[in-house]
Amino acid sequence: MSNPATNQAKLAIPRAAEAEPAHASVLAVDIRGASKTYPNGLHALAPIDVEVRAGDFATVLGPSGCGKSTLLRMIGGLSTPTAGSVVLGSGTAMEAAVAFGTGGIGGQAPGRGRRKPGLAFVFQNPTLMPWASVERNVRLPLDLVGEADGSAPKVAAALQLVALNDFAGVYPRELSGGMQMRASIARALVTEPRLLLMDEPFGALDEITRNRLDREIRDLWARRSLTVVFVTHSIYEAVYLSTRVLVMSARPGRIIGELAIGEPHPRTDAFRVSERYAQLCKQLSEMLAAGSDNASGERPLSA
Amino acid sequence: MSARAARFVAPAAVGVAFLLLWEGLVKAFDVPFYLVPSPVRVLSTLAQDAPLLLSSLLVTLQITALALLLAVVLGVGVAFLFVQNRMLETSLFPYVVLLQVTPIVAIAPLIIIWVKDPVGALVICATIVAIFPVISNTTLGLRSVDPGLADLFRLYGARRWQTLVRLRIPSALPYFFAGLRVSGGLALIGAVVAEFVAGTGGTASGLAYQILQAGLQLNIPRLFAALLLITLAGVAIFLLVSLTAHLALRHWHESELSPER
Repeated sequence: MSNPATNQAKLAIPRAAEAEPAHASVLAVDIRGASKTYPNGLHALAPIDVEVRAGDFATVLGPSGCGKSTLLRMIGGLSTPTAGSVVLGSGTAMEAAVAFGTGGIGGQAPGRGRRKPGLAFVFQNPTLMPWASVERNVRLPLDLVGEADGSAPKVAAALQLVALNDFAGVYPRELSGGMQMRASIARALVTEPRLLLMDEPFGALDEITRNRLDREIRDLWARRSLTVVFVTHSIYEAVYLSTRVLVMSARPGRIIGELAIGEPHPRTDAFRVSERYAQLCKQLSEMLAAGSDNASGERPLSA
Repeated sequence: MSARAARFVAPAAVGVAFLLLWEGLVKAFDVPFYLVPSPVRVLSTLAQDAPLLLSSLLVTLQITALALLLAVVLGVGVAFLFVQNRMLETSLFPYVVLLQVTPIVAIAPLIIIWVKDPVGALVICATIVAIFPVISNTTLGLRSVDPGLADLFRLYGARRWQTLVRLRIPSALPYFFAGLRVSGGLALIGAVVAEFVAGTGGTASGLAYQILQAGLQLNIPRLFAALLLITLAGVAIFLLVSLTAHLALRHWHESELSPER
C-alpha cells in the first residue's frame, strides 16, 4: 500500500504464523492508481493502490455506495478503470484506455473472450440459471471454457465441498437462500480458481446462515489455498473472515486504512465473542467513522 | 373443491349457465330461429352439416397452422437479428410496427392479386397479422437477461452463440410463449378475415366462406354453428400453446408453478 493516508491508518498487528501461507510473497492482484468515473459523470473511485498477495483473505470494507463492488468488478475484468491499471498474477495487465482483458492469474493472455480459469466471481445474488438444475449450474463454467468432457467428477467434488451433493438434480427455486448461495460458491470453485472474488455474497441472508457460510468459506480458503478478495459492509464479518481488511471511505471511494487480522485459523465461534474480536471491530469502526468525517459527502455509514 | 378442479369447473359452470339462459330466453320470447337460434338448434345443425363444416374447419385450421408456423420462424429469426445488432433493430422496428397497425382487410386484396395460389395468399395475410407479438416479445425476452448471469458469461469468455443458446434463449422463453398465446389467436383471426376478403369458393373453402354463404341464405343456425367451430378452434389453439408453455416452463418459471410449490 503506497498511499500515505493508508500508511498512516495502517495498524501494525502481526499475523499469526499459521495464517501465513507459504506462497504469500507472490502478488495476486496489483492495483496502481486505478480510478473509475462513469459516463454520467459519477466519480465512483478515486485513484487506488492495492496489493493482494497470494493466500490473502483480503476484505474490502466500506459503507454502501462507496465503490467496493466497482473495485471488485475492476479486478474481475467486468469493469474497466478510467485511469491506472489492474494487474493480476504473473504480469497480466489491464491498463486504462485499453479494451477490457483480464487474464487469469496463471498467466493467460489478456483479451475479450479469453478464458480465465484462475479467477472466479461470486455475486451479491446467487445468479443461478433458474431453468437448469444445480448440477448444470455448477457445470456451466466448465461448459463455457470447453471442458465439459469429463466434468462430472469436478462438479461432484465442487458440490461435495459445499455439501450440496444430495441436491444436484433439483432446481434453484427449490433451494433455500443459503443453499442457493452455496451452489453459487460451488460454481465458482468448479474451475479450481486461485483467485476468488466475492461481492457481499451473504448480505441478503439471515444471521445464522450468514455465520455458517462465513465459517464454510473460511474453511474452503484454508483447504484450497485460495486468494480471496471479499467485499462487505459488515465489520463483524470482515474481522471474522479476513487476514487483512481494507477500509474504504464514502464516494468517491478510496482506501483510507488497512487492518491486519492475525488470529490463527481455524477461527471458532468463541472468537466471535472474544475480547480480541471486539477490540478489532472497534478499531475498524473507528476507521470507518474517521473516513465518514473526512468524506466530502458527509454520508452516514451503514456498517 | 381443490383449486385445480375449480380452474375447470368454474368457467364450465358459467358456460352452462349462459347456454341455459340463452335457451330459456329464446323459448320464453319465442324468438324465430332465423334471427337467434337456440343452442340446441345450433348443435343439431352442427351435427347435420358436420361433413361440410368440418371440411371447412380443416381448411381454416390448415391456413392458421401454416401462418402460425411462419410467424414463429420468421418472428424468432427477426428477433435474433435485432438482438445481435441494435442499429438493425432501430432501423427496421418502425416498419414492423407499420405492418402491425395496417388493417389486414386493407392490404389483403393486394396480396390476393399478387399471389396466385389462394391458400398461399391467405397464409401470407394471416402471417402478417400474427407475426408482431412474436417479434416484439421474443426481442424483449432475448434482451431481458439477468445482469449477473450476463457478467458470469463474460467472466468465462462465453462466445456469442454460447450466450445466445445457454442464456438468452432460455431467458426469452416465457416472453416468447406470452407472444405465442396472442399470435395463435391472431393467426386464426387473420385466416378468417383473409378468407372473408378473398371470398374463395369451391372445395377449398374455409369457415369464413361458410359464414358468408349462410348469411346470404339466411341460414342463421349454420352461421352460428360455423361461428361455434371458429371459437372452439381458437380455444383449442390457446390451450395447445398453453400446454406447450407449461411443458417448457413448468420446472422453473413462476407463471407455470402452482402456489404451494
